[in-house]
Amino acid sequence: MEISDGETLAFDYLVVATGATPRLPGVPGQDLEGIFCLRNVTDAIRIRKFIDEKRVKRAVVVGAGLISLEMCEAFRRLGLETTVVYRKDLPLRRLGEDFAEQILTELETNGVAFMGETSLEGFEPTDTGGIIVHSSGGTFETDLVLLGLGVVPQVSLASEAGLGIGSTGAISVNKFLQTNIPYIYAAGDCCECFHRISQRPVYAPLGDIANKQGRIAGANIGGQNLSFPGIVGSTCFKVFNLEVASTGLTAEEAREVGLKAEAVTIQGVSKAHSYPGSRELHIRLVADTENGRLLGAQAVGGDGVVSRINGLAVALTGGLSLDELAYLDLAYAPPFSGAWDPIHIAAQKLLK
Amino acid sequence: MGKKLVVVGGGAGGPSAAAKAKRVDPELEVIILEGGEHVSFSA
Repeated sequence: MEISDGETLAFDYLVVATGATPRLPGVPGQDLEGIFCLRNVTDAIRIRKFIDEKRVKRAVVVGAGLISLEMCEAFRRLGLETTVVYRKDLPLRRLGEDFAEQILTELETNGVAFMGETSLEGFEPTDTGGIIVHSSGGTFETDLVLLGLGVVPQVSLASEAGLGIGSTGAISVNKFLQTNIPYIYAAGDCCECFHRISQRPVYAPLGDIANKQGRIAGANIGGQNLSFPGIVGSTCFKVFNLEVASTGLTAEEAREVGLKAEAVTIQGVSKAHSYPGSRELHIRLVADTENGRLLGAQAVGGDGVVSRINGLAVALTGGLSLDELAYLDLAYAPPFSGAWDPIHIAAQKLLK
Repeated sequence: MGKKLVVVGGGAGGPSAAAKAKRVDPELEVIILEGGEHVSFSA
């Protein structure tokens, strides 16, 4: 292969770990000073420096995914007036309207203005170093814009090298992380991974998955014979005082891949009712109506959300049924759950 | 002489692959190429 100084590098094995690049809105003025994406440490340092040096007071966040919502919290902590511009009506609608509304309430309670069903039209500089934002919801001024519109896999090198690109637009790999050229591997945000529940390749650009894929590719290059078992689609994030997590499929996603899915949602508590600091915890379980197998779970709440979802990620990986979940021997003590955990309660309700 | 591994990308997946390959096969010559300033910030 040829590198930027014109030098040629020979190799026996190659790992393509070119990552992903931020998706841009494609509107006029998107490259103005003060408009940022957040992808790496360099971006984070640039944003923080800009806020400090320009004495930024107002921020606009475009998009309402995980990075956008985490940045809302960061901006509010720095005292910035923060507005989200989003094309859909609610953030993270994938999790269901009820959960999305809780996320919206959490944003608004913490002083974030949310402009839903609003499309971005462009940016213009002001004479005083500000930025004019044009949108379907009106024109307004801000000091800083964060574009949080997701990422696209960086596959230009892979395409030039003739590597196979999958249906998701990312590099296609087998379970050993090999591309269609066996001595060329791929790992991380530039490549696809196999979703164990939908049984399809998916694009899941997350750092934890990248590490696992990288380690398995490296082990195989070193002479071992490891395979990556795929993902069940677990994610979590925190926005202000709300924890949000999910694993597996939503009922809608399950039906899209041809499964007969049913869901139930319960409101439980994160610790025993009587225990100080117990918070509401909402869990939705999704199961296959034909065989009672768990297909996915989504949860929001003030506390204890991620431990439940991680337990359910294990259940998904092991192919547990609702019968098994309903009486599963989860660890119990009042500081951590009720005697019946929200997982038991939800599984039993879905069995009825 | 050992074989040579070139890794394109120094984010998370690249360094994970490089480190593991080198641990499994210490004879391997490993080169990571990264266009940015920081390496392995999420690995």
